[in-house]
Amino acid sequence: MTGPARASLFGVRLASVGFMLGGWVVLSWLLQTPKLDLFPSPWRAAMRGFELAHSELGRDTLASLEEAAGGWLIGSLLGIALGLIIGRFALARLLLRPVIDFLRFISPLAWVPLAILWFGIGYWSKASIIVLISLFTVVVNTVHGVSAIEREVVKASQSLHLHWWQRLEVVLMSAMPDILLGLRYSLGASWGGVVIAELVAGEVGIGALESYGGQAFDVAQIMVGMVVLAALGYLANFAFMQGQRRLFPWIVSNRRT
Amino acid sequence: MKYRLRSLLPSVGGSASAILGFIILLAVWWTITALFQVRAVILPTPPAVWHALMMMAADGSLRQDIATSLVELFWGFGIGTMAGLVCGGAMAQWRWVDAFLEPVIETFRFILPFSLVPLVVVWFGVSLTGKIFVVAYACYFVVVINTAAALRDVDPYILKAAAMLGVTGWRRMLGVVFPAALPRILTGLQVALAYAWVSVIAAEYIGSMAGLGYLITNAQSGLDTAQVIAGMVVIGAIGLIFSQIVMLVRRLTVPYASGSSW
Repeated sequence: MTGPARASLFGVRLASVGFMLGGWVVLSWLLQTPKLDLFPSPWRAAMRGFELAHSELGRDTLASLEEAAGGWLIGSLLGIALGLIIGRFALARLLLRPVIDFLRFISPLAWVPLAILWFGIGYWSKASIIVLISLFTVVVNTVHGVSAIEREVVKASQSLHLHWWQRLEVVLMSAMPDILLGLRYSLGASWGGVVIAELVAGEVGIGALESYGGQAFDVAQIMVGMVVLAALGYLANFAFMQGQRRLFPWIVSNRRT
Repeated sequence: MKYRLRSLLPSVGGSASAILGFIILLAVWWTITALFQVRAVILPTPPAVWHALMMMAADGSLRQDIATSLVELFWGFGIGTMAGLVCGGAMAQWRWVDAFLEPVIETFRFILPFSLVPLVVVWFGVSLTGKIFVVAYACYFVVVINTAAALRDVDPYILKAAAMLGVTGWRRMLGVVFPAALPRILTGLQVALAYAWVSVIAAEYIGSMAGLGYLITNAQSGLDTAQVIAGMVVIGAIGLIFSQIVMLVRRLTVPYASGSSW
């Protein structure tokens, strides 16, 4: 592409960002209501963000982070372990795969009421949802990776008389691109689970912050929650990609994107 | 999250296997409740859940909840995917549309549909509009990204071959580009349908008076675990029916790119 064309496309991109901000301002003017601020302007939302940052936002963010991180770690580790077992042993494949296939049709988010009945309104009612979300995604991807390992690699590790943990390493590393895909996808999906679980049963957390905002008709507070969640999701994805590139530089897809 | 997205979706062989899984799970569940005398609030017996399901079916409330959820799904999915297909097509066709929409999509992609739920409750109350908004929002991004990428990433050799045969204009669009891009567009729609069904349920948790999501949260606040599980089974069964329909559509329209399993 030529220089001027690229520059004009950059102008279009800039116009797009301006359009988003301008649209927000215009909408907040048009939809202004005297009593309730149902569509706050960007600076109103930013002000509310600063106010909340001084009071409860930090605590809520930390609570959500803990739920997401704990649930994701447990779910991912379980998922990788189950995936390796299902991928390597025919009996496990026969018995466990159908169960997972069935449970996958019931979305993890539909478990929220049951999780509340089982675990109450504490940490685990939210974390267990994240565990389910991560578990199913990671299992499927791990099995996919493990069953796609080349026979030569397996045979080579057998003929070298590797110990079982070394053979495990071979299998794990061969399946790693698929496993990472599942991990990244479930990391993104976890935030959705966190917010919906906290909306239904939350005292602390960003979902609870939004839910209190909704009850008080404080739209600015809801918007702050939305933006913080978006930022967390973006940062988590970015950090994951960085870590993945640092730890596994040999994976082909790491080189380009 | 690119071509491998499809491996996350249930497949044809998956549903046969899911029925077997249901039987295994049922056996384990029944054994646990029979052996350990679990309290019904924690885990009711399978007959109790069946009874709850039949009760809801008999008094007509189940039918109404299913109808409400399906109406929300229909409009939300319809509006979201339509907007996604149109925008995706335009993005692939014109560079300036792509340059304009890409920052918007990249920004809003990270704003989760579920974090919109309290907002739409404030804006639209308990009406259907709010739920449809959330569902359409959830569908839009996956459709627009996949449609634009599918139309853009058509194998250049196919396009060269078409150019060599003198196919241009609309015939090139409909006869060459579209069939080549269709599998991935359908994948986007398939994922969008799964998202849509989940977000229907999730949107109904807060500020609604009917629907399957309302059914299970309502039963939960009444400590009626049997009804919660019955509702979950209905949600899963409807999801299963949808995935079967989608698989059928896929096999009918793109027999050259079907079948996936894990």
